[in-house]
Amino acid sequence: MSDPTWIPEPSPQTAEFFKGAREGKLRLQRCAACERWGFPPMSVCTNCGSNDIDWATASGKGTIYSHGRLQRAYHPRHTDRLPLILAQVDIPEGIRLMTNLIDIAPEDVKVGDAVTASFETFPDGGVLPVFSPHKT
Amino acid sequence: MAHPMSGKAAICGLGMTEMGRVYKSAGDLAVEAVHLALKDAGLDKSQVDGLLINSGATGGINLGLHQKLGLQELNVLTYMQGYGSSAGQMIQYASMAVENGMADYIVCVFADNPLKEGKRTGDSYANRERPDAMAALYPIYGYAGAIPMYAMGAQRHMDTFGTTQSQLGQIAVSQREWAAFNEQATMRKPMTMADYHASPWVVEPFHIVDCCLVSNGGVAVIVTSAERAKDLKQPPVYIRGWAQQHNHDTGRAGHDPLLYGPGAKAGPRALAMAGASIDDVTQCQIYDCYTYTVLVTLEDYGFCAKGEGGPFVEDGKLGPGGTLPTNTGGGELSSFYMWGMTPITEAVIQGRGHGGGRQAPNDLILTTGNGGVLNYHATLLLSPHAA
Repeated sequence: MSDPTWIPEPSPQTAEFFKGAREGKLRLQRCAACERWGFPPMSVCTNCGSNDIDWATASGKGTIYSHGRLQRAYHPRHTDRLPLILAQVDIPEGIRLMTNLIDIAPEDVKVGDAVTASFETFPDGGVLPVFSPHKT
Repeated sequence: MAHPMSGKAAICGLGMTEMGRVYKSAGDLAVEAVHLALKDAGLDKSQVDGLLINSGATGGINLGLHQKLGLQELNVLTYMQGYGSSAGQMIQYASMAVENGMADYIVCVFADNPLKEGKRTGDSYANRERPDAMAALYPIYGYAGAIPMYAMGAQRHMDTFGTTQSQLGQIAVSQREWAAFNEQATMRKPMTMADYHASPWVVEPFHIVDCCLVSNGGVAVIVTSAERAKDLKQPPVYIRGWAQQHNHDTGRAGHDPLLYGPGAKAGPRALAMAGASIDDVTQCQIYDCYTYTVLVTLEDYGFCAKGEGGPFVEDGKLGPGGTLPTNTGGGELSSFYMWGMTPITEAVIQGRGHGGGRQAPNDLILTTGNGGVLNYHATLLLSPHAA
């Protein structure tokens, strides 16, 4: 049985994000004019209106804004791993990412905790950025 | 002192279809609601000269409703969208229009039919079909619809202020107690705190019973001038104050949109218009897409300090016999989910004094609508008294 294709073919505008993830990097856009980072991918800077948008590698650091536990599976990735930890992570680049936390017990997750970008490889070869506890 | 426009318009008609698993088109539900509202007000369709339309999750009604209703000549007509704040917004714009003589009787209508035979309850809200790779990430991560976002709001409140699961639960329990008095409520079976804790998780910290129902149905509300309303069939429910506030969730780090909602700014403006203070509010009809929405909205309006919502609701003061009767028809959690029309229908019933066993003091009824994830907000202050 073939695995489902979890991530559809990215568009030219989003391809760099997925390519970066396969290389273990959190690749995000940054406006060349005002230097503000932006996500999700855009062709015009939402801050200053410039069309001059670059891609750059984010620090991979973050702190937990909030979190929750998904308790109902509706995608093959959720199966056998409930509760899946949902988290909104603030990164120093100024963006709040909707993501998952891995390698931590649900009861140990707290608002404000430091986390680090991590990467999860799917059965179909796709790679997804996630976050795990920051190891000091 | 109240604003000159305070109390100059009134709600004179209310039409509500059967709610829940009513498998009719949204258009048919809207038409039915409008005719029920006309009958309720004692008006003839030919007297309607304004129509404001808001569609729910399925987008099933649009400007074409004008034709479907066979309304011949209208002075005011538009389709509006502000999600859960739409209903309150429609009544605000209708009030301004009737006060300024643009129209005499404006029908504000909402209808939706997200429940489909053979489909799961939440399917219309989950948005699980997304073609783009970036958008496809969210269901893979486990984000579908609004539940995860509000659940994370509740979790942030818990981590920050020590709010407990039982405090959230008390909101659901109190509203279920109210629903027992409401024949139009879908969920009337008594629910204890133990039942609450035993309810299955969806996205923790939300049990299923922390989340609103999904309902098919239609609601129409007719707005006219205070002068005209006096001569109609029903006791007028005067529109004493209103405001809107819309907070963009920036998606940026460092903002706190899940703990601080737009009601904090809309509330004082609506109260100032009515010449009232928060202490004058005798009951609340609060948009309750989730238990947490009630808690954060009560804080935002200043019924208690930010962070103290948990202890505030814990004694059951929102329920029958409590000091702040809230969502007296059972709310969206236990009665039916007609977006912002759910709190407004109950406010009209209460404002008329037609609440029967659930009638609560109605001198000043705070009614709120909320859309997005605490993004879009409309406030109405309603009363049986014009001033």
